[in-house]
Amino acid sequence: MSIRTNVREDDYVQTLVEKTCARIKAKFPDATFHVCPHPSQRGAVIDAHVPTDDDFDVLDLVNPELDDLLVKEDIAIYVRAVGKS
Amino acid sequence: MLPDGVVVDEARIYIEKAIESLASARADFAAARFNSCANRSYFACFQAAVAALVAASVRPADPRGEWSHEFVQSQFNGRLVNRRKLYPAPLRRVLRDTIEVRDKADYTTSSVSERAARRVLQEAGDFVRAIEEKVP
Repeated sequence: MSIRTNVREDDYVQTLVEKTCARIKAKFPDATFHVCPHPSQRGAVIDAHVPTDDDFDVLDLVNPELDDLLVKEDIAIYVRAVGKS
Repeated sequence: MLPDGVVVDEARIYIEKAIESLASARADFAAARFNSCANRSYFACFQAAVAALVAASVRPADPRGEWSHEFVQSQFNGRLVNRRKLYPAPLRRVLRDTIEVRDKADYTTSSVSERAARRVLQEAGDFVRAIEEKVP
């Protein structure tokens, strides 16, 4: 799986990022990802390069779990569906 | 602790800002300004969520009194939807959905499509209306 990331210093967040990317990849096999640390708290921002112009084709796959993650563990992982790379 | 009247007034100020932001989002959508629509839709939701938290006597964690995006999202969803059941569960996703599309609009080279803008605008309208009905 193609994930360019610089959040590797946090193993738990990195695992969560990989699970999130895998879920997107299951629907969009050609998806690639660019991951950055969240700018203000524990977490990450994932840019998902996917061939769709409807962000919700991607967000509907992952947002319910990511919402629970923020509420229960205070970890903020956001996904932006940014189209083909 | 602020007197009750002060809390209610502050909540009212935020809900009025939310209504104004939503009106801008609708105007942006009508003019095919979908990036701006996403931005205004998110801030309509953020301001409405702050109104709901103020009305429920939740204060920001920041000692300067500023509301962070993540704090508002986690407190609205965790405290007001999950625990106190003040708002319906489908609203739980709205802050996340709208901030992600808004971040794309504001901080990436990609643009928001009409389809995505329509959805965030719909979600924002439902969100603001639900809170407006409960904030005095």
